[in-house]
Amino acid sequence: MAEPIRIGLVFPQLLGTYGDRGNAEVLAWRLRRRGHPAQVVELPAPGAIPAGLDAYMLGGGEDLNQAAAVKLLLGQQGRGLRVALAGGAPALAVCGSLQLLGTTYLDAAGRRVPGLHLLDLETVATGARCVGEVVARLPDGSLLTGFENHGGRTRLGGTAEPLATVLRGHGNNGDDGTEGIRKGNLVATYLHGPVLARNPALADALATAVLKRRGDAAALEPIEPDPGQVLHDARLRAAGFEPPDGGGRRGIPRWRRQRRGSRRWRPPSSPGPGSVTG
Amino acid sequence: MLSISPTSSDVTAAPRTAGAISPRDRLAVVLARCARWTIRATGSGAGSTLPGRLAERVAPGVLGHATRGLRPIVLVSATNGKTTTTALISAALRAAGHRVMTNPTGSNLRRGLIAAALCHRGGADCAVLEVDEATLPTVLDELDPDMLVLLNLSRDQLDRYHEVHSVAAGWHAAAGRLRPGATVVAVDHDPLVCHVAQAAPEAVTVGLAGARPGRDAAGCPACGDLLDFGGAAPRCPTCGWRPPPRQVRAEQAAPGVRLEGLGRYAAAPVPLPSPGYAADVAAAWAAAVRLGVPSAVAIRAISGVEVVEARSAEMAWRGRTVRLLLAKNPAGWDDVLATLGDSSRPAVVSVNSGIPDGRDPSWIWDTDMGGLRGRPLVVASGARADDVAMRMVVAGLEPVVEPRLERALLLATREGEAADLVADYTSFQAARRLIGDG
Repeated sequence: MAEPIRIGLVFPQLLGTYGDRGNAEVLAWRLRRRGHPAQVVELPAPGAIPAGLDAYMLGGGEDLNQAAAVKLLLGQQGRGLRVALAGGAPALAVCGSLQLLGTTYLDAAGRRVPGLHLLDLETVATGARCVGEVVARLPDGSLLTGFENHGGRTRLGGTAEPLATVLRGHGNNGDDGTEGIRKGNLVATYLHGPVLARNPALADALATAVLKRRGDAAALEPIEPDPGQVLHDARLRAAGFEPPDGGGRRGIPRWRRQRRGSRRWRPPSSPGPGSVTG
Repeated sequence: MLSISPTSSDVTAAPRTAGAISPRDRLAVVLARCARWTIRATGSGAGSTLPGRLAERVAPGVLGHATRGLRPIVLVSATNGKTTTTALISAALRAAGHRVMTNPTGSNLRRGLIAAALCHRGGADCAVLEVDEATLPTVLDELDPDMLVLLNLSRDQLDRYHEVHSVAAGWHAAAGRLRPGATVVAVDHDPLVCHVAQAAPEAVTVGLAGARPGRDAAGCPACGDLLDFGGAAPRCPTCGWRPPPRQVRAEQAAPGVRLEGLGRYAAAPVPLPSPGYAADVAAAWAAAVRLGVPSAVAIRAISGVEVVEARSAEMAWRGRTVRLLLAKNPAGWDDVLATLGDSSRPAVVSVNSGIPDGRDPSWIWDTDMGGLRGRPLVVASGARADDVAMRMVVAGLEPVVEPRLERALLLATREGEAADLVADYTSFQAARRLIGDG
């Protein structure tokens, strides 16, 4: 049996204000449901981050916490993360972590916070805060849904590839229509929700990248029924967007009408719950 | 008759705020009371905000005028426990013979405070007001309080508050503007609250033995760097910040809480043995004692309060029993899970994420929803039932999904059975209406 997949949750007490730890749990769950043992490894500050994990999840934090995190990540404690990300490890960075992977962040108090220079972007906290539901279109035409809550306006550099195009909400800065950034296996976005809970396709893209790096090229089988897909479709509909494929029989799964009009989520013979932390 | 009239005579002698009782203020009082009477008579609500909105429109500054001369004025704020602690302090002051102006329904924004002040009947000599965290700095100068009671500060409604640190910064500046002699009573579990106490002219720190700092305690409140929690008390290795020493020590002693400090000792049997409630009791006792209420009088009054409406209630409904528990943020969830203990009832979790709740329910991923494992049935409900269901599934639960609260409760229980309902603010209100209607 191969070693379990280890998903690192980076500095959760500093970069975990907006529920983004859920991304790590969702990714581990989606892998386990396909029969790949996976666990969430909490990496609390100020401990050193190991370079050898299978994926890294970085969440959003408040300005002061973000500055404290950057200080550590630029130092010895962050060396493992910098090495892993530069080497193409699958990773997700949300909100404050998108900002700190760029070149600089000028925060709301006017402090210039240096970034890790792993992504070609810079951010200035200015103007009204961007708060609300977001719908964006990925390059393959599918939709991304999430909730943004940020004061920073991010500009991508010339070579950078945005993650998605904003259809509703602000995204990176509210005027150039870009949302997030993608660089190989590194995905960064402003979306909370958590974004992997609300966007199973994005979660599975990361899961596939994780497996591929471990030498497992098998495609992921669909999860049936998939509560993530139900949530995805519900959020799109709430924002006035019809899921392109009708959300699988208009998004109403077979089990919807069980038990006096309610749905029960039943796990088909699954490896069982239990996110392991360590 | 009017709460403002008994005090208007000494206003000129010792004005606490600028201006005087004007005909406009009197008109505002009449309007506010008519509005409340109409709202209540037509059954369209409690009348706890619209009257305030009207009054402020007619008479700007009416909040300061209507509370002038009241002594003491106590403002209570926190992420969790405001309504409870406001009720506890009010009870203690009443037991000591005070006539208390208060806002018991939890209407704690500016409009709600005005409505409470103008619609109060029977005269008052003091005020105990629950104030929203972000509203506190904006009403401080008008109310000119004698005491702030600050319980905790953690992530909540971030779509509105944005950052916990910015709320804390508002409190810190407010504490610095208190007039000489005014006191901050601070529960010292959260470093952010300790830091606010350090800015106040006078402070009383209160703490529960064994309490751990909350989720938003990682950074130093003074400089933002990572705090060191290795020792007995947190310490900032960068700037040297430390919390102030604890003055009132509380200890949970089932089924109650023991209190010691300010030269007194007291013990209270607590009906809801959760750590959050014990901290509220400790803070209320410390506040009352500091305000001159005899310790024994205060603790008897505090122990006698049944805080059923505020955040926990066991209610009979259609032959069933439903225990309502308010949980509107991760810290509130921690407290609810501690309250639930090993209850084996079916559980309904309802999250609406309406505007008063905060429109982003991401916070449910910061809760330990796996704590509901082992229940015969869990139901995900509310407008955001699909978000709750996904959270539950990933936590290893097998929820039934039923967005409509009434059907969710019917699913969870047969007649003669009992269920626990964990609800965010608007779900909690909806449940109270539903159960009240039978």
